[in-house]
Amino acid sequence: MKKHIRLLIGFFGLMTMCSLALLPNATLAMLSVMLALCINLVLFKYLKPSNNFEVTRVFDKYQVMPPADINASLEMKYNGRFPANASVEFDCQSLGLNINTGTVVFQPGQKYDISKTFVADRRGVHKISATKVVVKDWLLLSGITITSNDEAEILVLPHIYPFETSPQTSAAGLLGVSSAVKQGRSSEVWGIRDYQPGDDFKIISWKAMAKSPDHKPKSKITAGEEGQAITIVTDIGKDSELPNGDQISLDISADLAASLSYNFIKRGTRTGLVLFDTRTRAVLKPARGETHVDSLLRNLAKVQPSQDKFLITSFTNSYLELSASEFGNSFILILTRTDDRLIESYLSKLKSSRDLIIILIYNEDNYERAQQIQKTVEENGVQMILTNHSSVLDTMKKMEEWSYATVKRT
Amino acid sequence: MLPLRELRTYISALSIAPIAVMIANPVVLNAFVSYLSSIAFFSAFGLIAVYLMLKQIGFIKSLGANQQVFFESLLLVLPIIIPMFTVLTTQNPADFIAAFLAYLVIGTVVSLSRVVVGAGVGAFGKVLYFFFAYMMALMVYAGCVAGAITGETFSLLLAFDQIAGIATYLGYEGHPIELPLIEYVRLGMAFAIPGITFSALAAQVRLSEVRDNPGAESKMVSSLRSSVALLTLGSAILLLPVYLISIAIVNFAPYLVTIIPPVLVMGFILLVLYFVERD
Repeated sequence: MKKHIRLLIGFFGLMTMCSLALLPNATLAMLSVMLALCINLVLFKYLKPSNNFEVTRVFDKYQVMPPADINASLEMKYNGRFPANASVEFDCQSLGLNINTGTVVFQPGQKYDISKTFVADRRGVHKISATKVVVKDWLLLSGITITSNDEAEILVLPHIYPFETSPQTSAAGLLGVSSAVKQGRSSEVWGIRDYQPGDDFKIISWKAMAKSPDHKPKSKITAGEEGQAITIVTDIGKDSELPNGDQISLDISADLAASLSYNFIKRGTRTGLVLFDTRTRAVLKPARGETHVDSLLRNLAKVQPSQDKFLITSFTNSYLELSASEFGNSFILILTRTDDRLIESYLSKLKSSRDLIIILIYNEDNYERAQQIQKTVEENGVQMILTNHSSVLDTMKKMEEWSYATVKRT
Repeated sequence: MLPLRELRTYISALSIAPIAVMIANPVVLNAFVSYLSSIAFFSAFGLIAVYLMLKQIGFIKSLGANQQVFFESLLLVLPIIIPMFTVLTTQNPADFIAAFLAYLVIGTVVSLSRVVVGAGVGAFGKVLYFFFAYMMALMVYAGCVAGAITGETFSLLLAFDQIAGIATYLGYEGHPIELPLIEYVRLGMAFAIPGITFSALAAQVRLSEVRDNPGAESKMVSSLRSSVALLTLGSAILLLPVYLISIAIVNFAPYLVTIIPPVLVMGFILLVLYFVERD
C-alpha cells in the first residue's frame, strides 16, 4: 500500500475515534492535518512539477584507454512556479559509479549542477543507466519517477604498451619502408591481395578483380605495407577468467593482443585477430588503417570469457585451414588454458612451415604446469613465452624482437 | 549558549498551551499536593521514572527479547499492582486512584514532550501524541474538578465520563461536567489546531528527509516552510465548511456534530483526490 494512503487511513481511524468519543477539538485537529495532506497530494497531481525539470547529463569521454579519468556532469533546471522536491540518480555498476543527489528542494528557476570524476580502469563495455528523476510532493509522501532515454556506454579499451623503438627507427624503418598510417600511401605497387574491410578505396584494383576467376575485389599491396600479414589468435575459453593479479587472464591477453596489433599496424604490417574457444568466435582478417585498429580494439574491449574451455584439437584443425594468402604466415597464439594434457603434443604439431610463437598466460596456481608445457613445446621447436600480470612489459619486449626477425625473414 | 531550535518547535510549544491550561491550574495542583503523602503515588512516579531513565541510557535495549518484555512489564504494571492489595485488604480505592492519577500525569507530560521535541516523530506521531495528551489532560482536569465538588480529591468515574462518548451510544449514562476553564481551552484550540497542523507537516518533512538521508542536516524543513504554511492555511480554510455544517445540525442532532461535518468535508476532499489521481 502506498505511503500516503497508509497515512490517510491512519488519520481517518484516529479521527473516527475522536468523533465517536465526542471530542470536537481533537477531531478538528485530526481533520485539519488530514485536509492538509490531501491538499498537498491534490496540488502535486494538479501542478505536475515533474513536467518542469530539465536534466542534462554529459560525459567528457565515451571511449578511453585505461586507466583514464572520466568526468560526469549533471545539470538540472527547475522551471515551475512553486518549490518542488526532486532527486536524480544514475549509475554504472561495473565502474563503481553511483550518482544520487538525494532529495533536493528546488525553488522556481533554480539550477543545480553536480560533477563527479571517476576512474575507468576495467576493460569492457560499461553501461551507464538512464537518468532517473524522482519528483516528490512537498511532504515527500508520493512521487513520480521520470526515466529519460539516455542510456549510454563507456568503452574502456585494452591497455596499449608501445614498442620501445618508434616505427621510424625500427626494423621497418631500416628496411626502407615507413608507416602508411602516419605518412600516407605510396603509389608504388608491390603486388595484389584480396580486399580487406578497412582498405582505402583508392588501392582497390578493379582490373585485378575483373581478371580474377572469383571476381572478388582485390587490393594493391603498396609501399608502406610491410612484410607478410600477422594473425593473433586469442584463447577466450573459460580458463581466461582465472584471476591474474587484480585482473583476469583475458584482460592480459586482450592487452597483449591490442598492443601487438596496434604496434604492428602502426609499423605497416597487416594484422588480423581470431578469437577462439571450442571454435572460431570472431575473425578480423589482416588489414591496416585506423578503421581496422579501431575495430580490433573494440572487439578486444568487448570480449568476455566464454563458458567453454579452449579446445586444442579444434584449434589445430582451424589453424591449418587458415590460408596463408589471407592470414599470412606468422601467427601469435595467446593461450590461457594449461590443464589440458593434449596441449603439449598438439602445440608441437603446429610448427609446420609457419612462423608461430605462443604466449602462455599463467597465474600462481598453474605456474609449474605452464613451465612444463613450455619445456616440452620448446623441445619440439616452437617458441613459447610465459607471462603473467607482472611480466607483460618483458613479453612486449620479446615480441618486439620476434617481430623484427619476422620482418627480416619476409 | 543553547542553539535556537527551529520554528516548528516553537509553534508546537504554543500549540500545547490549551492542554497545559488543563494540567497547570490551581484545582489540579491542589489534588496533586494532597496526594504527595500517598506511598502509591510516590512509588508510581518512582518506578516509572526508573523505567524512563533505564530506557534513556539504553539498558532496556541491551536485554534479550524475553527479559526486555518481563522487565518493562514489571516496571510499568507494578505501580498499579501494589495499590490493588490495599483495595483488596482495606476496600479503600484511594491508593489505586493516586497511582492512576500518577499514570495520567506522567502520560500527559511525556506525550506533550513528544509533541514539542519528539525526534523521529512524523505527522501521525505528532497528532497521536497530541490526542493522547489532550485526552489524558482532560481526564485529569475533569477528575480533579469533580473530586473537588464531591470531596474525594480525584473522581475516577467522572474523569472517564469526560471521554466516554462511544459508551453513550451503547446506552451508558455518562455525566460529563462543564469545566471552568473550558472556554479558554476552546479559544486556545482555535490557534492550536493550525499550529499542530503546521508542526505535524513539518515533522513529516523532517522524518522523510531523515529516512532518505540519515546524516543530513535539517535543510528541507526550512526550504519548504512556505509550502507547509500554505498547506496549513488551506486546511484552515477548509475547516470553515465544517463549522458551518456544525451550526446547521447542532440543534436537531447534537450527538452527530463531531461526526457528520468532518466526514462530509473529508469525503469531499477524498473524492477530489480520487479524480485528480485517476487523471
